[in-house]
Amino acid sequence: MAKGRKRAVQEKTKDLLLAFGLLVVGIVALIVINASTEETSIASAAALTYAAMPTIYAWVLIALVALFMATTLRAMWVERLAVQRDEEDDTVAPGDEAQGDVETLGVRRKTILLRIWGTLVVLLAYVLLLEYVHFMILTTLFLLVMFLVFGQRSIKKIAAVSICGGAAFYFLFIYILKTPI
Amino acid sequence: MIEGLIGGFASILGPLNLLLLFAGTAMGIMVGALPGLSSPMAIIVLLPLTYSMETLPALLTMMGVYVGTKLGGSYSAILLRTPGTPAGACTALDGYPMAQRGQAGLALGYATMGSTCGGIFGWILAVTCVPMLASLAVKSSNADIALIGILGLVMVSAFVRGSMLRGLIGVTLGLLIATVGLDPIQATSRFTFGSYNLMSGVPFAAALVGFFGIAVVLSDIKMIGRRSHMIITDITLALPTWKDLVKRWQCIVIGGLYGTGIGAIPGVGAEISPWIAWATVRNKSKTPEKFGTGIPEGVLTPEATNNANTGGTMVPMLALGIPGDGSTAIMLGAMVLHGLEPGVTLMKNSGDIVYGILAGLLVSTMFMFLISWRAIRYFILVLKQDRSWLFPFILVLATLGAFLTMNTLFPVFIAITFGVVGYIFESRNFPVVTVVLGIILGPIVEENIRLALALSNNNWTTFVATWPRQVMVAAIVGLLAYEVYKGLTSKPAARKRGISPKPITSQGKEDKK
Repeated sequence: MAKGRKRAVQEKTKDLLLAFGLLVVGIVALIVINASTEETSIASAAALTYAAMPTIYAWVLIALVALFMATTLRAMWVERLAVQRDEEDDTVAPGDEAQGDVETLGVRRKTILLRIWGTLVVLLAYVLLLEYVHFMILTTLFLLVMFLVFGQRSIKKIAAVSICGGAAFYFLFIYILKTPI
Repeated sequence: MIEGLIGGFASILGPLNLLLLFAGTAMGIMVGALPGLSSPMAIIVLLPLTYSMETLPALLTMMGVYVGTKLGGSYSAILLRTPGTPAGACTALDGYPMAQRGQAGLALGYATMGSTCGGIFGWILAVTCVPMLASLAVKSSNADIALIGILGLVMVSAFVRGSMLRGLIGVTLGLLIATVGLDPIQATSRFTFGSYNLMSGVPFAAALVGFFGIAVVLSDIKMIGRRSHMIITDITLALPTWKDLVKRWQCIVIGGLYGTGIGAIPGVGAEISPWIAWATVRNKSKTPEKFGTGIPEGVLTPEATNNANTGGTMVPMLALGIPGDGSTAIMLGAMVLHGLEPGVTLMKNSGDIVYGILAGLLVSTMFMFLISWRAIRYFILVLKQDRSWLFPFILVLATLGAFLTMNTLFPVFIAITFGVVGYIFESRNFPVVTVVLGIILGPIVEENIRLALALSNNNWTTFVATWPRQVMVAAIVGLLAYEVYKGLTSKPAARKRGISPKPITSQGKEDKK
């Protein structure tokens, strides 16, 4: 089976999802700016009002994204035909050989995904707690948890680097630069 | 010009400025040596430290990083065959085979000399061109400035990696984001959704922190745990003799010309020019077959091009306010944060800063040479380090950098949002630099289009009223038309080649950096 081609189709599907998101942004921008009841503060006889440029940009974005979706769909269609042809011919497409250790690749992808989500969750927690917990303690804890999320396992080393890091940040930003955090 | 330049050197030759320039250059070399880490990211993590500085010292620190990363990228290219920056990829072609033959020190020596000579070459052209272009640009009217901005955005879209369509989508999204807040003429709020924080627009520095700090960490998480195996661990730099360099003068001149010339085109510079220069030198060579097998010319040329690029990108940034890449975009942002107004009037209003930056470019190039010459073995140690120790520190610096833009948590959330958006964009091969440039140039373009129309009684022909405007409009239309033509005549990759296209992956980070 032409796994390389199937992967290409999957990639294009992700492109389409992003394009759909951008299309929604363009449409929402168009609706919001033209539904706005804002009073202009300064009288102007200019050809372009406050809503003109956002409207132009939103239309251009919608048009470009539509074009992108059309070209992506066309490429997907070609890939799908190729997949069907490969399946009928039972040929091995280039890229199949690279699929050697699919299981290991899957585990690695899962680890990366977990680390990305872990990073976002820990970062958000860090930011939300900044107003409530002492900066040095929170930063030390943040570094400690992040090292664990990124796969470090030497507790002594993690603790030493986190404490030194937290102290260094505190000294530089709070003590020297007087950051009002 | 000479007086201005002397003044520029006089202003940067204080001990603090020199120390910051030196530290920035050293940090740049270190970051550049680490594959995956980029010049814009290194500059962005410096943002929180530079808020409390005066304008020139802050920009000099950033300039040092910018110059240093160019050479640092060659270390990993030569020793690991993994370029630290996309621009360093070409150096690996000849640098790595030289290292395999036991000439790693010599390859690094040629890289150092190439970078230094290229940097000086680029600096000479930048010092010549910036004042000339600025003196012409200062006579520009609103319509000219608007067209320069639009042309810059179209050029970035056309030449940035990936397709022009992706570039244009990124630019348009950036332009749309730039309209958030009070509009520049009528002071009417747009897309603020009642939020007081958004009245002055999306915090620009926070967006930069998101795109070039958080997004890069998220993208590079896949590199955690990958150990680098250096071909040789005990390195001593072996600088080539002057005779060897003079013999290869063509490499430096061609590299310098391509680096500066192409570097001056927004969005193109760093990634493409070393390859074009390398191919040109190879085609002119009597022994082209030796290129790629490990010859000094193959290291000297791309490295001269790389550093000449720094001079090239300074031309549109300082003369027109158009950043050529991610690093210069952040520097422009830093200028805004420090109260400067980048654009055609920058030279007129803040000439001392412009000449100070140009002087800093040369001094930083000198520091780069000295650091590489005397301390290369310490910088090479970073090649063996795991990024998992570095990324949490970058995230803390990114958080502080965003926080300090308004001294509230609001810009931090904006930075995280843009970090996620930037990560998704990069993973789908949409260059985030296009979005950033859209955000930077959006207000300039809008304000000048509307003012030009208001001043010409709403007459749209004002945009083609003079020959320079006609040329710019023709260039914009021509670039767009060419892309449409290319799109209509090209066939989908799979059908054309009969093979499956490679999966799209996130690419280099510099000056998409």
